Amino acid sequence: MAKTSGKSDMLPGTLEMLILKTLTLGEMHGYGIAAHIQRLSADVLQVEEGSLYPALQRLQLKGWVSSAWGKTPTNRRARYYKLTAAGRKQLASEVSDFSRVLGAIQAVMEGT
Amino acid sequence: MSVSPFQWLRALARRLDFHLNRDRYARELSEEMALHLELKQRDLELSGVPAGETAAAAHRQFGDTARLAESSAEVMSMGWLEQSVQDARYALRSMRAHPTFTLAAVSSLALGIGAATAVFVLVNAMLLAPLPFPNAERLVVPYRALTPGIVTAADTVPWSHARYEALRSAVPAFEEAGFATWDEVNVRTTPGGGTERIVMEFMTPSLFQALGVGPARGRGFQQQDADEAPVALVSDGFWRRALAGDSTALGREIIVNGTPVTVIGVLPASFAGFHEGAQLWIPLEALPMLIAGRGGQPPRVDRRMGVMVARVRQDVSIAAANEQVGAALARIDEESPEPFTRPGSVWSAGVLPLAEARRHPLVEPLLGIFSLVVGGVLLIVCANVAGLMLARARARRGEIGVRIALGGGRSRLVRQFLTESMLLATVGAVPGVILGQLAAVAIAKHRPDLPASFVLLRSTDLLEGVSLAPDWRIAAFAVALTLIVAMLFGAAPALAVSRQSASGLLKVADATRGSVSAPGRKLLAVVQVALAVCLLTGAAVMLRSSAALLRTDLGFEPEGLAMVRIAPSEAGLGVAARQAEWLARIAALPGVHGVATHNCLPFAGDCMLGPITGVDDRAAEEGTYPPIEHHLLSPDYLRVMGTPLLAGRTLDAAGDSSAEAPAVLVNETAARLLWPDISPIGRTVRISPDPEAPPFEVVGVVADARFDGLDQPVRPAIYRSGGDGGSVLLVRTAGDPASLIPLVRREIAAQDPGVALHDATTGVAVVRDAASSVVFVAGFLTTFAILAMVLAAIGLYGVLAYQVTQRSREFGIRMAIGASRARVMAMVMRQGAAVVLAGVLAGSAVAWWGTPFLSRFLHGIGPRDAGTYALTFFLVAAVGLVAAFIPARRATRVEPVLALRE
Repeated sequence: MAKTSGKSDMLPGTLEMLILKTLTLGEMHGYGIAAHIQRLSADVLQVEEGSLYPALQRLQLKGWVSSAWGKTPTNRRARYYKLTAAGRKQLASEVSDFSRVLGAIQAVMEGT
Repeated sequence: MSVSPFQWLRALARRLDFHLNRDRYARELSEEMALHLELKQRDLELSGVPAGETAAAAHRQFGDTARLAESSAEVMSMGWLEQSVQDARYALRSMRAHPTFTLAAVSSLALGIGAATAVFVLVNAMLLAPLPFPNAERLVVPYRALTPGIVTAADTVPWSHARYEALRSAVPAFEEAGFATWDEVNVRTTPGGGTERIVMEFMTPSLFQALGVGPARGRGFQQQDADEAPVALVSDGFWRRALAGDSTALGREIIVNGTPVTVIGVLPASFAGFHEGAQLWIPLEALPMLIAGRGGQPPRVDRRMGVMVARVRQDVSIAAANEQVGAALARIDEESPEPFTRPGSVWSAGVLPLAEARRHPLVEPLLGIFSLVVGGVLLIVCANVAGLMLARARARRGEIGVRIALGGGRSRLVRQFLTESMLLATVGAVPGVILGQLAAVAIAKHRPDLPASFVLLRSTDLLEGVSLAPDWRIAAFAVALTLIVAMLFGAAPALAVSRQSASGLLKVADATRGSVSAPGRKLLAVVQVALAVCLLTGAAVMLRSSAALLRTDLGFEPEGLAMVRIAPSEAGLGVAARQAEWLARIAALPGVHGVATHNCLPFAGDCMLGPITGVDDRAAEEGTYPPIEHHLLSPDYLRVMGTPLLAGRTLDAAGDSSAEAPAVLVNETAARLLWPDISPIGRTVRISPDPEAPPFEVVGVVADARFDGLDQPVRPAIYRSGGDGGSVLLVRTAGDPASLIPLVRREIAAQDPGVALHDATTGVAVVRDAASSVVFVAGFLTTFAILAMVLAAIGLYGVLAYQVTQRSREFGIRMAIGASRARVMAMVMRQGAAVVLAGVLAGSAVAWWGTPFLSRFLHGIGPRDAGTYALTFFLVAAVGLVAAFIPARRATRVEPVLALRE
């Protein structure tokens, strides 16, 4: 896929929702999260990968994500992020908001 | 979305943790990013990207690590708090970088804040500190005054015990009321020990109930006490001093005027009674057992005069109690008139809150003046520091311009300036507050002796509470003051910054234009000069007044005069009984030039007054003449006191008092009053209400001597021989009179151990004390006026010196094209003169309005004395021109060539 046309800007706040969603799969380190998002979105949602870190910082501050240092399978030190109960609740409400908005947009688009 | 407080707190904790461990967080983040890039590179390699390009590609997709780390840190920012910390750090750095500026600003702030704190500590102690009684706001002092308007003790009539009893039952608003009278008594705590003269209060036990005060140790008065030997409560001080703080002292007997009295309790240290120096309290019923009546009669308790204190019931307002007292007293006076309050003579009656009654009426005007003065000094300090800050803001315009041009928010810049002001004020406030507390303690120690006769209730020394102990009111005041001061002097530079444009600030070429803030600074200088003029005028008026007061013709010779009161001994031996023997003994002491007795001390308010009932053969109607002062003296009195005899002869030792018409002397005022056109010698005067009593024959006229107060008109006075009222021993010496008193004490103790000498003083000391309130105010004002003048001069100098620096190029050009040095100098001087003139005019106008507030402290000079204003005018003008001269001369030293080359 040509990166010039396929790389779309994300709606604000989307990145955080994607991170939360990704973390429902289990503990992950930063690169793991970025790779997962990229893989699932078939490279359409290509984040500036580094912006993941300020977002993770924000999520931790809000108490939705917690982190701890651990080891990678290759025995490297890495910080693993985990969804908290509050984060799970937040994700649920964000997803429902998101689908409502998406549904509304869809309805408008198809109605014309 | 709502955030629970718990979440908020956790976030705050995390933020704090971040800020405390910034380095660790940064290290960890970069470790994470490094791992990310490494894994990315590996994946890219696996997906077939050539080995040489993987690093670049990974970085490209990752983004700028430095910027990302920064925005990651931003997430953790603490908003204004963190910015304030930054601002404060920056301010501290710049304070360190400009030590002269910092020292000047901080030290003047310390002075200003210190002065204000000192006055507040006094206000706190005298006006704000609560009385040591429960629900003290319900306590009132009933009064009756013979004059309308303001009530001071001088205008009130004390209550007789009989009136107290009548009023107490007639005023339903009183929940409880009590009465106290006092006397000085001779006290021995050990049978063989020395005798002390002590103030004892006789009180109804109901007084303690009204006040809500009980003994700290032992028991209080009880009903059955009346039937037995007298019992006493003692002050905490007396217990510690005379009874050695011994708890077994309760139940011990002390000897009061020869009668044993049992000590049953110790009152709390906060209780000091209602008469100055009171140390012993005894039920009123015991009074006849301890105090002798007049002429051998037992004293009549119902005629004892004293003070009344009442507690007003919770459900009645103080105003209602006030009305009830007035109405009840009118009724009582109607039914049973008393001799000193004939019907119609009482102007007003009511109640005063206890706190107010305890306060000297001069206290409030004094503190008012002090507050105005320190307020003025504080404003000058603020103006000065604001000027300094403006000058520095100007020097920093480059920096500020760059910050604005680069997008620095103006509000942030204003905050930066306010943070700097805040920091300066705080650094100045710390030593200032300490200084102020020390000053307040010193003032409390060296306070003026306000004439106590004006205090309705003489009570605890209100300034005793002044100490270095922490007090929340003082702390709150200091914090609020620091904030206000910081806002006052920080506002000007902050506003100046916020108004300027980046381009204006960055332009360097406008150096020849006057500084942007020059008009502001000049205005500040004008305000400073004006305030200094106000304070100087007040100080000058007070100084001239106190000088006039100290020059007052006393009518006696204060130098070399020792004075001491003698209390009658337990055996009732008054001065009269032993007078001749004592006088002979003391006269024989080395250094003594003369010794005499008298019945009162100058300026102590204890001279007897009586009516003039007849002049020559005419009877005088009551009210024809003002009351006349009675002086009872021993033969040597005039010589010892140094009062000149103007006509006739002095009284001789014998004969004069026993003759058919006893010989007397009168003072000039009495002579003028009674015999305006003829010589008083050989004339007679009657001063007894008994028409059968023999008249007195005037044998001499003496100069007017002041006994009432330095600023009071001299009363008519009559001098006669006699010792029975005589209680003051006067000793004249060529040496130091104070050192003579121990010798006198020893001499009398050797003969009569039961006699107590007290209130020893010297002629110089009584005069000094009489003038002390005026001298004190004058000293206070002068100190601060000089401080204000110096600060204002520095302020003016600062403005002009700064302008000269700014305009040196312009001066260089002017001189290069032919302006003479004198002309350049005149330019600067003219600016200085304009500021000084504007300040002097404004200041004089304010002083004209304000000096009448000093009237109560002025003697022999009006508050708007033209000479004083002229003096101040020239003084300020001279100082101002000197302050302007230094920068003006510097302006003429500008080297044209150098200035042009700049």
